[in-house]
Amino acid sequence: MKAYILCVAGAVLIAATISLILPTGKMGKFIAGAVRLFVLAVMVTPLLGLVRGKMPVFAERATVEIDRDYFERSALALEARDAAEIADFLLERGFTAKIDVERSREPAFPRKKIRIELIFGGIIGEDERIHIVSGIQAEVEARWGCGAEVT
Amino acid sequence: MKKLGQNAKKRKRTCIAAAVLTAAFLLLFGGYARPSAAKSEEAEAGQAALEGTVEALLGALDTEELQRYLDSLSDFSGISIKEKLRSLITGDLKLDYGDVLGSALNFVWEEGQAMLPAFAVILAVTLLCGILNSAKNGFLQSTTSDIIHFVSYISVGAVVLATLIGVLESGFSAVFSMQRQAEIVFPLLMTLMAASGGTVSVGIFRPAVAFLSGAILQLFTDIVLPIAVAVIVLAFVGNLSKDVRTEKLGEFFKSIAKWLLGMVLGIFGFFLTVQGISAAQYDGLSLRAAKYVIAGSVPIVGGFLSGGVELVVAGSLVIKNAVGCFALFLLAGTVLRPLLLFLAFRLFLRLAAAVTEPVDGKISAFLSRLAADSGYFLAALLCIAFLYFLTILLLICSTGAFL
Repeated sequence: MKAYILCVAGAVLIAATISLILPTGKMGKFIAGAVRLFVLAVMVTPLLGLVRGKMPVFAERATVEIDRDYFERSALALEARDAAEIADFLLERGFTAKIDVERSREPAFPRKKIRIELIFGGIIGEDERIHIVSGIQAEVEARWGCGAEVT
Repeated sequence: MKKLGQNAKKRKRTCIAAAVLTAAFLLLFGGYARPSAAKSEEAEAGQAALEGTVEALLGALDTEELQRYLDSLSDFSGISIKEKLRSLITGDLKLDYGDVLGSALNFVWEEGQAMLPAFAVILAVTLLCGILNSAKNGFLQSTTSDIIHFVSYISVGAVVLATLIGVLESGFSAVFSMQRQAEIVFPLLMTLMAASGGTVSVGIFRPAVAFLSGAILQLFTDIVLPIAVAVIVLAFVGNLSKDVRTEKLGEFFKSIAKWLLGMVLGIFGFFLTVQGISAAQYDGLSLRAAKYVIAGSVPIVGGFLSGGVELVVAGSLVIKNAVGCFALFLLAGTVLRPLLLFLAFRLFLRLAAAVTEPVDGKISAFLSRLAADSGYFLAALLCIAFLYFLTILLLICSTGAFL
């Protein structure tokens, strides 16, 4: 395109310059006619080539890739946040625990499972232990809306 | 005695009735005070949960490429993209419209002043040409005065084109900047849209965005913008000689440019808008259906579960909208400079045409025609900016249908 425009502009410039220095008389008219034909040829020849040739293709060269790693990083960040919240929740009730939260790597990252391993400091009876575990499990499931495994 | 007894009974009944009424009043209306207090606590807790979610999702977002692009720009270097996104999300970012307008007017004024030397040269050359033309019928031959007119026309054209080249370079630079921005911003927006559950919307927008970034921008940079430049060049060479005219060739290129601009704006803009709106509605219905199923199928917990999902969706959408708004600000900053430059240039040409008209009609006609024809380049630039703006706006506005 640029080359075409430069050719046309150059041809017109040459034609204008020649028309200034043309002699009068039949010779001048002949040269003027030849110059006009020259300008016409410069304008039309590339267009003929365009018509005979193939249609330019404007293919999609760009691709828009979704960052799949973002899903992994987001799920990990949300899992860490959930674990911190659960740790605070257990601390309020006087417990410490090892917490593992599992979130889906799919859009919206719904929680899949919460695993809590309670750390009991003193000696606790079996019945009391079962009562504590079941109570915490029920509370965690109700509050965080997914299955919980408390041991 | 009997009356005293009756009065006492009456008083007793009145007291009992008053107590019953008070108790009923407290039962009926006293309870509302607690829910509103509880609501404000719930709202604060919800707000805090949303902020925490947004912070977690924002931390996971990879904005390195966008940050590198910002650092490469003189106007935006030193800006932290994540801080700006936080400001947009919390609403701390304020735009001083007075400052923006003042800066724009100041820029136009400064560019106009920078063009004054060129204006002086044009005026001087035109005056000289006018004086010499008036001597044509006197002692100078026709051919000599034609040569003088030709030389003066070339001189004016050279001065104008030298200024025009700077303006066109600014325009081309803006187009390439927009292309680069599209390559960086659209993947971010698509990722955030996918993360918030807009799978149908992503499926619709992804090929459209790729088409805009690829084929449409290629069409503009390879065909439309060169045509606009061709129109300008033909406006210049067409007036060189009365024997060789290129007006019709210029009209031919103008009609091609108009058709291409109209087709791209009409077809692409129309289809993108319709598909984008319908896709967002479908995603919204799907999400609501999923929420209904979850809330209904899981007793008690269902509400919390669907609420938790909604929190992540809301967080992703908030970040997506913030990224989209930032991209719009970036677009405005990119397009504003060449737009104002073109404005200053066209004002300069019109002023020069007006001032030179009494002296030399041909140079005045050339300047006036150039001012009109340079509008095609500006139209092409604004068309690209509008398509980019429309796409980002649709990506932002697809939010409401989700929730």
